[in-house]
Amino acid sequence: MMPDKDGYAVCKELKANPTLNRIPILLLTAVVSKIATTRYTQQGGLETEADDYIDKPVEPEVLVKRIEALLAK
Amino acid sequence: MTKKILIIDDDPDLVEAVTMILESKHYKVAVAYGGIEGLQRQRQKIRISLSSM
Repeated sequence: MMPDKDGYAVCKELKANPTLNRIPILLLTAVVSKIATTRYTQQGGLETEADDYIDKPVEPEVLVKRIEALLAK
Repeated sequence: MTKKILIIDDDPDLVEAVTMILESKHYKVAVAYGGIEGLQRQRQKIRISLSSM
């Protein structure tokens, strides 16, 4: 987890910013992935900040496919 | 046009690995090593953002 601001906080600020909120965000989650995913899916709807999630360690092929899927939206 | 992807993570090894993957797929990569820096970098022309929890 980043010391100054975690991915969750970064997502929240970006999605609240009208000029930046259309940039897709893909979260890379570590040991807390299950908790984090649950947290996000339970929030649902408007409160879901990230566009997608990947568990660490990141598999290169999975990462590229997920990015391509987000860019295609 | 080449798409630019911002990686936000404080782990240099992960950033390097992901950068290599993305550059091999011909994406441009921008890096921020912390959340605040990442937010500042988003003001550049970023197409997608990868952020660590």
